[in-house]
Amino acid sequence: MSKTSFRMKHRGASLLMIVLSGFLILSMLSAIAINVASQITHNEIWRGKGTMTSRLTHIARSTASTVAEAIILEPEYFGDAAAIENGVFSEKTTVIDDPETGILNEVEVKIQGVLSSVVFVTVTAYEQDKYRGVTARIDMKATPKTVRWSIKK
Amino acid sequence: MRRRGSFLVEAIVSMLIFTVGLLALALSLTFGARIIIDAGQNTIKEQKLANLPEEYLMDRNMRIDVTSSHSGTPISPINQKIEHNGEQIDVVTNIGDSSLLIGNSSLLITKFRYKLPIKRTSTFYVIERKP
Repeated sequence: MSKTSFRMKHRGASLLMIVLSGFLILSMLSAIAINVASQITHNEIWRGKGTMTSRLTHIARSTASTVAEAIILEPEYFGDAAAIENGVFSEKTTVIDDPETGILNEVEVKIQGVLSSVVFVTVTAYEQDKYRGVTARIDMKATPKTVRWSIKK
Repeated sequence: MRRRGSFLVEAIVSMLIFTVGLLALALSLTFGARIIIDAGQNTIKEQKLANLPEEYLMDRNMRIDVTSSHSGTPISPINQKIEHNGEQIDVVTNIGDSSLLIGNSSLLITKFRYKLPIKRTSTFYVIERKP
């Protein structure tokens, strides 16, 4: 078959071939771009979860510090020795309701121990369905008073 | 009847289509690269932001015995700033006071927000006892 007769029989074949190969190359490059974008999105989701955990930890720790400072300054601020021994609690209370970011955090506080020796302040911070708890163990006999921290995941 | 030069026209048209596609892809890649460079800069700022509440809480923990004469002057969140490219960036905002009822006692608190002045950034909060 001569070149001329091939062109006559398959008119537009070269156009089709070039367009198809171009489409194939562009598809491959697009697939790489989509894959990179998808990995970045996954990374962002993972980072978002980490940020929420840090946020809850900071809220719980700073709340526990606030309560611990009040106890150190005035041991019977939240109740006398008998009340602290039995445990003093708070309801789940909204502490952060930020209209700028839409973030809403709640905390629950529990104080229990012996005012003359060791008092435990347990704070659990909540956001959506996630929570993070910390416990501050205040050594009331030490000078200056010290706090040992532990975390509940 | 066969038209002379039809192959050339087909090739030019297909190359035009391909060039348009390549240009679109090149533009999207340039845009993506710019976003990635910005993201790199923002990640550095984000890390510096994440360190601030940590520094504050550590300092506060070391001075937790407010009755001690060694307590000293604690870090105030509102004075904490981020240094980036020689610039001091304000990232902490006092978002108001409220109270926390524990047992029968109410504890007055002040709340601070750590946030970069950019969109889609991490946000942290700390609580301080209101004197």
